[in-house]
Amino acid sequence: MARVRVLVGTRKGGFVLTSDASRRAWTIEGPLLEGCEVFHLQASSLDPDRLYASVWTPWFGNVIQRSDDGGRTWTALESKFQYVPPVESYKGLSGQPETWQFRRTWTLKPVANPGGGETLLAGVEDAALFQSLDDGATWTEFSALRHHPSHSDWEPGAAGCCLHTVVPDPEVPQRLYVAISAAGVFRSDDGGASWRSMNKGLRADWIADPANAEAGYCVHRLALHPARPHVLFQQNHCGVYRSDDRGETWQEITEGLPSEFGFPIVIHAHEPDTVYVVPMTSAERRYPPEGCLRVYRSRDGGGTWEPLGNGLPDRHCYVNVLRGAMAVDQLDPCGVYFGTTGGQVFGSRDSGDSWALLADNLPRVLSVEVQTLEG
Amino acid sequence: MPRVTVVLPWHLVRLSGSGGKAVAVDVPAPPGEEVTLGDVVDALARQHPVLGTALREPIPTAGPAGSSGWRLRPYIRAFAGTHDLTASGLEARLPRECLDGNEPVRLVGAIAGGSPGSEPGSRKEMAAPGE
Repeated sequence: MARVRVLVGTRKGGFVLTSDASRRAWTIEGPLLEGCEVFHLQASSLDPDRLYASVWTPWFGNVIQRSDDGGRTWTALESKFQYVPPVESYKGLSGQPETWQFRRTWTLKPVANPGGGETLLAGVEDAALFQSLDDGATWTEFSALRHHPSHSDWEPGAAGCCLHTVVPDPEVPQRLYVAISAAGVFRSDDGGASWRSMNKGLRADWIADPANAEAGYCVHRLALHPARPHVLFQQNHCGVYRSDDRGETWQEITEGLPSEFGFPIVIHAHEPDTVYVVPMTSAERRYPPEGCLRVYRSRDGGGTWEPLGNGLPDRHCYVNVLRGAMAVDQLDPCGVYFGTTGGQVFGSRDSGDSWALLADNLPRVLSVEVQTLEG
Repeated sequence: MPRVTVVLPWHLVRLSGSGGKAVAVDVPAPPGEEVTLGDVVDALARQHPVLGTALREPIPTAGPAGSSGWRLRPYIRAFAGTHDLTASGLEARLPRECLDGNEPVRLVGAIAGGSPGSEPGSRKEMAAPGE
């Protein structure tokens, strides 16, 4: 019988929630790596018991930890993320140039290699993309991305200038998308050797001429469905968007949502046109509209939206759901999961029709990933 | 080659797998030569590579070189016995007592390190981690 494991990264360690395929009863293990901020807890694409954690503390910085036993024991890896010279500047918060400086790893993306083995990709702050070919022991940068001609127009969002989303194209191994706040979406068709900005059609209220700007867009999250990889969806600071041409152009699909602002966006495991977002009131407030937590689902690729609230708080709810804190399982019906800044983890075992509180009173949830395991 | 005892905070003991708070490191230095805190951290990093990036960070410098060296992380305090070396950073010279093995070098996390938003003007004042 299949099992589901929800990997939760929080401000004070990682947690693992496990259930059988019924997804009715959950066990909670943790905190793992206690005392540390677990920015992202992620599973290998090859070995379900191999986990990677992006760990950070204000004192000792960033370290990648690896577990080969499902999180019971961990090995700290050397975690040297060194930018390839030359190192230049982006547009700092004050508008003045700010020199690139490695701060932390935002996201880890294991990708199975066609010829065997696994490449581990890491998106970091200040924005750059690294890869490891030895299970996280050493890292090298895809420096052409950071040297993109638009780099001096990249700027930090409220949480820094970060590369937070890595989306490989499952059909074309050399094609890779990344999302950077606040620079935008970039695509490589040659395995990271060169990059193009993919931001036509996006709004950016802080750019004087967004129609002609290559960068400066605040994409919050990017998603594609493996069965239809030429279609992309993104939740942006300024709306929700869809691209039908591999990111070349974007069409806004915000209409029908209570707010254009939010962080995560995920796609149903078996229905490429079913998309989920969690709208927040605005960039200034970052809580659910009217204190009523709702997931919004579109079953027609963004044409229409419906609120999903059965089992979610109806009032006095002022949490946020961060960009990496929502994921789906691979069962049928599809399970959907998200964590909040208030330490709750909610799950739905019926594609969002109803929700259950799987965990409460955890630390602030920073990331949620889901493993669907056999046996 | 002086053998220096370094006392690590709990988090770094666990991170490095050193097995205990006190770690002895051999610091390559000709007899009579000065030994700096940076030399000790280098030796520590050779023995436990993960400590290299946990204790120091590259100095960001725009230009073709990419970095102009390393500095002690801002929330780390270093002591030689009771003498605070922090202000001099990795350039701090170790006193003879540490090189003779009579005093340890102590590395601790600063009390101010608990909040990423605690630096005035920090971008982290605007939003919490991940947001």
